[in-house]
Amino acid sequence: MLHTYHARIIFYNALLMVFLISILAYTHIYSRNVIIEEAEIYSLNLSNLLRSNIEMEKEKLLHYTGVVRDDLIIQEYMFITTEINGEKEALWSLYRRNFGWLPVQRTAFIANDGKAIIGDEHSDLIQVINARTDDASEGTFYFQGKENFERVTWARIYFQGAPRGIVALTHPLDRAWLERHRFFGGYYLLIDDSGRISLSNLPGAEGRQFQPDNGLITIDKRAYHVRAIPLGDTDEESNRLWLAISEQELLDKLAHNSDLILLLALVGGTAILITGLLIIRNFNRPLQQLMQITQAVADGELPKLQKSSETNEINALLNRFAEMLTALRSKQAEIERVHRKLEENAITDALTGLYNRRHLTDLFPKLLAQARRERKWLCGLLLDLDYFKRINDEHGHPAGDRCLTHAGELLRELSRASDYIFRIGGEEFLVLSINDSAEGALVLAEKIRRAFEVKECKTDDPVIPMTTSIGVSCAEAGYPAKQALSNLLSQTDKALYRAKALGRNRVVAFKEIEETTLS
Amino acid sequence: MLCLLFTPAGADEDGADDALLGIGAHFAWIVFDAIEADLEAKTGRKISLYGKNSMLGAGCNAAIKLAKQAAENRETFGFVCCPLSEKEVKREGLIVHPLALEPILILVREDNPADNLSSAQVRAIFRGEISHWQDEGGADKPIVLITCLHCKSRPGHWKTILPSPDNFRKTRLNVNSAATMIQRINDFSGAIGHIGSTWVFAPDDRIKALSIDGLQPAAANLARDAYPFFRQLSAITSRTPSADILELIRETQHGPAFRRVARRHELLPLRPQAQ
Repeated sequence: MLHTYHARIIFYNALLMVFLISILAYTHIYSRNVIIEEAEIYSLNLSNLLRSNIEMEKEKLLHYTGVVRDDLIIQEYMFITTEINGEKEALWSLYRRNFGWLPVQRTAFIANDGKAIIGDEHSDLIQVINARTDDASEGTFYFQGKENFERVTWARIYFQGAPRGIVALTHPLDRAWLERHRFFGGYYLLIDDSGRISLSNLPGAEGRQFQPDNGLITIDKRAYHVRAIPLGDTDEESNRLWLAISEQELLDKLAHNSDLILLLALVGGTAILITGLLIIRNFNRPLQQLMQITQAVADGELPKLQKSSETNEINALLNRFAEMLTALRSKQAEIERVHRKLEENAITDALTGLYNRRHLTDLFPKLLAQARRERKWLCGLLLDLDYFKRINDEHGHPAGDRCLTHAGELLRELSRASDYIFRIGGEEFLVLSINDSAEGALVLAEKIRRAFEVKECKTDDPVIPMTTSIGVSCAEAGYPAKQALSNLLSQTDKALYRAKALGRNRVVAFKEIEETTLS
Repeated sequence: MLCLLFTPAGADEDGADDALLGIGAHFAWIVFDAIEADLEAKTGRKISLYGKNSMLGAGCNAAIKLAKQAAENRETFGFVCCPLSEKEVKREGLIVHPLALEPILILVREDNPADNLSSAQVRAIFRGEISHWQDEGGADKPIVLITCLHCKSRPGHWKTILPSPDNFRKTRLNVNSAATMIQRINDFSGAIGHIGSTWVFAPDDRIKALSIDGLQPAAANLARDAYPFFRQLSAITSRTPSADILELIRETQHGPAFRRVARRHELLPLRPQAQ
């Protein structure tokens, strides 16, 4: 199945694609499981982190309160204001001058009798401080103010060893606070006294009644795990701020990322596909071409191969192959030419250029079939040059050869294009001729005899007169080709023998001998 | 003037060879800056005075301590803003060289409508018998009493207002320095306090000095015993001061430079000007 490079390339590409998709699928599934399993831990860690941050904020606010409390001039001004009737504006002015930079929302100075020295516009704050401060020197708590849920830190101010009042600073858990904590992740829900979500960065949550069911709330058909973030020591404070985590949201984020991953997979897959196609185009196609050509060569063909102008290795190989094919074609033409020559030599007589006896055997069946198909006669004229031995003896073999050549030329000259002329012995020739009747063959034979008589053999010696005797016969019907040839040769030979016997230079038809014999 | 014990750091090293060593707080520098050149010219000696701009540690006690350190190769003196008791002078083995009387200003904030009080009213306010400015025809504001009751064992100074701390209103703010006094009066519109006339006010101070019994806190009124609140400024030395120290003090008491600064700050010199 993978015997071809083409198949292997496709297979390897498919493997790469499967591998890529498997990795992405595994990553997706694994991430999903991790998200589901770790959501609880994430929620806990986030809660601890936030709690730690809130604790830090508390310590910072307590520190600010302590700094104000420990300021000697503040202490003195508290004394002046509360004990010797100094105006409170001086205290406020001093506070703003020295501590106006503190990042707090509200500031209040409260006298020992609970009346506000500074911050009397914050009646809610003053009221709660009076209600919640005890004999301690400092403290902190949360309360729902008029505008925000706030952390309050307070400290008692002493001067000359006696308490002179309280300074209180507040820090809100407001929208800005939520914004500052967004980077922690998750959503925050702030619950008011009536159990409603008064503030949240979770869209659609504000104003809803907060009623977690088994640690879950549902907002806009989406479930969130909720976890209380302890704010203070009391249960009331501890159940004010909640952290909400949505598994589904995390999964949605994963799904969102999956789209990106899928896009990457498509890009990666396309890249692999393109790479495969390029490999096929650059390697497989030339290889296929080479395969087809080599197959054609194996089948005995030498197809033409267009040379490529590209210089890569595969095209160089193709070009070499094209050159090789060109060379092979040239060699094949040479071989064919030599073969034709050899074939010609095999069927012709070297001296006269006429067909030889072997070719007679090959050709006769075709001529016989043609004659029978055309309902004509295939006749044979067997010639033997008269007294040819004497020519050799008297004038030499070259002269004899010259006379044989002359005889061949005469026969070619006298015969028709459809006639076939053979030299079947030393000075014996056979002419096969297809005629409408046996008489046509006799006419041709007589024409030949006369021509020999008239046209003498011209050599370097004086002209040598030459005659020929001819025996004529036609092939008989009803015999196979081989038998018919044998019969024809036998009959013409008998007729020739009679012509020789009758004094030579004459034509004798085999039919005449039969008739004489019968009579 | 501060009442903390202080020995100038490095005093021995800095002035051991040639300089006359002295110490003094605010008033001393107001005086000394004006007369230093004259004093050095007269004595031909370098004078090193410690305590300039000091908010702590260059008060009367430090001056007494340094004056007592005088020895054969160590010529020292001090400036004190309070009159020393005879008992203290004897105990410490000192000689007091009176310089001038300094009026004690009764200060209120500039926006206080009151410009003049009788000395009886002032004393009543400081005793706490009067606690509201409205009672004195002023604004509808409670009186914020600010005091600086330093050098409690010494006679004179704030004791010209009331002789003992026990006489002062209980609900008062007692500060430790003149600078704090000024700051508090600046901050509280109903404040009243006291300070020596050599105090140099800052341009942005919103403070004024009241006339007492219709009299300004001026040298002339001190000279005729008409202005009731004052203190004595003095130089102090050991019982055996060097000739140069004596010359320095004599020039301070009698020289023209001191007269100029006394005029500027309404000081009443206690020794006649040299002819």
